Amino acid sequence: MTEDEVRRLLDARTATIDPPPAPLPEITRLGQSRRRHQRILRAAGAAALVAAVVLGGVGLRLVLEGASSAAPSSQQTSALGGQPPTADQLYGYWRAVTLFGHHVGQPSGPIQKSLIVEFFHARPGSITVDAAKGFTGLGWSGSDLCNTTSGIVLLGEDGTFRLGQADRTQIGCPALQGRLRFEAVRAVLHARWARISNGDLVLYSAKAGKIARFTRIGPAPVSKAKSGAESSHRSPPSTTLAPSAPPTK
Amino acid sequence: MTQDADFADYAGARWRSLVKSAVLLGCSPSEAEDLAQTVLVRCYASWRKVSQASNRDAYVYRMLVNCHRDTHRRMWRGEQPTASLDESSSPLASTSDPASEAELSDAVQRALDGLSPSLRQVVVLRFCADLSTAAVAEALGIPEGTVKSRTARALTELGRNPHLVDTNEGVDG
Repeated sequence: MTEDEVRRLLDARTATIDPPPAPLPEITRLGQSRRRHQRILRAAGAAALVAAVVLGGVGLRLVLEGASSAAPSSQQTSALGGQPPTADQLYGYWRAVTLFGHHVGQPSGPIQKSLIVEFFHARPGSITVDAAKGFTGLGWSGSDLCNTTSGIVLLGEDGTFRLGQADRTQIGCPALQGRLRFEAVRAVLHARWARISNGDLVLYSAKAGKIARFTRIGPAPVSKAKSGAESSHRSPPSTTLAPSAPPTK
Repeated sequence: MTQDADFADYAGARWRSLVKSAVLLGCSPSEAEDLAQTVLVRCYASWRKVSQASNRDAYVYRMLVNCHRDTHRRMWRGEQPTASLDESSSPLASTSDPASEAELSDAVQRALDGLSPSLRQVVVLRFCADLSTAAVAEALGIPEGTVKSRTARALTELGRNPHLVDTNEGVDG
């Protein structure tokens, strides 16, 4: 069948169709009504977008500054003692001396292995949340006494301190260490304030309760400091799981 | 020329074609008028966008096809397909009398009903709305090559359609 034949057939089909003239007044009236609805919907959509941006911004700010709502009063922070640390002061290896009032690394204590945390320079681009307010360019790495964990460091000028999410899997970890692991991870992840006191790093909770005291065991090797930026999730040295050693303090 | 006057000219010129195209897409005449009116209402509401389209007709017929599809998606037609058709429905060779015209019209409608929706849309837009291959491609959002292949397939299917076998002479003659 040719195109012309199809045209003729379609003409034959529609030959008897003789619609009345286009109802232009009705079409115009309905079209104007539709325009009004579209305008209202656009205005409502724009308002909703603005509200979402504003509320989202507020929400994000609250999330990023989550500690602020539970932050201690100025009276409490003044009682923290010591000085807020800078990123350079944190950089390097720190060994836990006390965790929740217990000495760490003593054969008779509840936490018999030593806990060492490393703060290293992180390349911003390698961390997905590098735009987070307060990100200092520092990453942290440490052991939960079973697995190596790591994340980012949020450090405010006033000493507000937060560590980013850490992997907390317990797969393959001895059951005996479960409680110890929990305590160790809790110590670093629940910290909201940091102070340098007598050369030690002291971490406080949001309510200004002392969580842990760390003592510096030397800066990171120079080579590691330079290459540390290449990976924010590298493993800390094997000494992080070193056998228990007597605390220095 | 004001926008309203421009729209009125366009709507007046395309009204019959829109209604006929809607009929060929499968609407009853009254449904076709409603569908064409709906399309023109939408055109009026967005006339600035429609009038600035590279191919205004392609834009409008795309709205027609979409409206038709939406309408038929929503409502159950209540039509019952039949496995075989009555022999008496074959079109007559002559179109000179009203009865013959009605039968030819019915035969064309049945033949169109036998096409898949995609082939039917191409046939209607190409041969009833008289859109170019490029405009049909734009209206349906498919490549031009697909329009050509669908057109060829539709012509082949229509040529083999039992309802239209005897119509060529009748239409020509």
